[in-house]
Amino acid sequence: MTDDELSRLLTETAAAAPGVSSVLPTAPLREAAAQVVSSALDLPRSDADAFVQVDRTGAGVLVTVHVSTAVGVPTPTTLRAVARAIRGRVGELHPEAIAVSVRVRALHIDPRPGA
Amino acid sequence: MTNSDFDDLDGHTLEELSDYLESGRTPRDPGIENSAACRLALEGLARLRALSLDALQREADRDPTRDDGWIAGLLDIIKDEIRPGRDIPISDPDAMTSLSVTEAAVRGLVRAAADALPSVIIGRTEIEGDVSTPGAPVRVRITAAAEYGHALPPLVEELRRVVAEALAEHTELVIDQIDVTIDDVYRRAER
Repeated sequence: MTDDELSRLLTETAAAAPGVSSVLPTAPLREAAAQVVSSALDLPRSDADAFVQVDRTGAGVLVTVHVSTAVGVPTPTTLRAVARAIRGRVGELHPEAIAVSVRVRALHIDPRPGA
Repeated sequence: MTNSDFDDLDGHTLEELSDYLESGRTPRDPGIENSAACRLALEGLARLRALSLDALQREADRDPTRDDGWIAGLLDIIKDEIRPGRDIPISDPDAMTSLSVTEAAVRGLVRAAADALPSVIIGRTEIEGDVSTPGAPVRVRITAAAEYGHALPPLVEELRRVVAEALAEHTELVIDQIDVTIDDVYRRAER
């Protein structure tokens, strides 16, 4: 599995965690936009929906996730749920990984009811 | 608009965001909706429209020379407050997990909390102190405009209460004090 494929799966995992309004790109958005263009032109590229950053360091993995959280759930609860879900998913996909570090950052708290 | 504005809004301008808001945020623009800065700015613009459009018009009618400055000031605050700022840590029992919420997200939260009060328009929100050290006391300073005709002490107390509740629910900040300065008064247009 490539890092982009793993990133896409982890983006879906984070988005499904309770209290997450949306997963936001860790890469600058203009880079993400370039990926969309590359996709349209069928050029080699990273996946545009792969918003989670995956860094492999030897036998370890560092996963960085940026999210918008829904105001209806306490943000600390949401961030912990995301971290748990990500850790579980990486454990399933890469049981050989010795050290899995997870960073979850809330960039936005969505005030919309039901977000 | 400066290059800095363009960078802070992930390549968009406040004018574009205003047009996007005008269109009801449809069709969905992923470049805007996937940007925390754009979403914070959209909320600020929407709040200005919903809460204060009438008030702004009233102020303009009452004192045209003042209008430009007031609106420009509120827009400047929106632009200033979309910058992520410092990371505010959230605790987790797992030492390999690092959780945080940005200062910009918290400022947006304060604004959203204040929306529950119909008689204030939040100006600037500042968090003073070492927010990156868990347990360190911090002070929150808020400026706001109050609707004419309301007694200020209860309004300020209510604002303090809703902000304190929101911060307690969504952060682990230890709030030493919430200072509220009412620095303007506005009139709501008669309907």
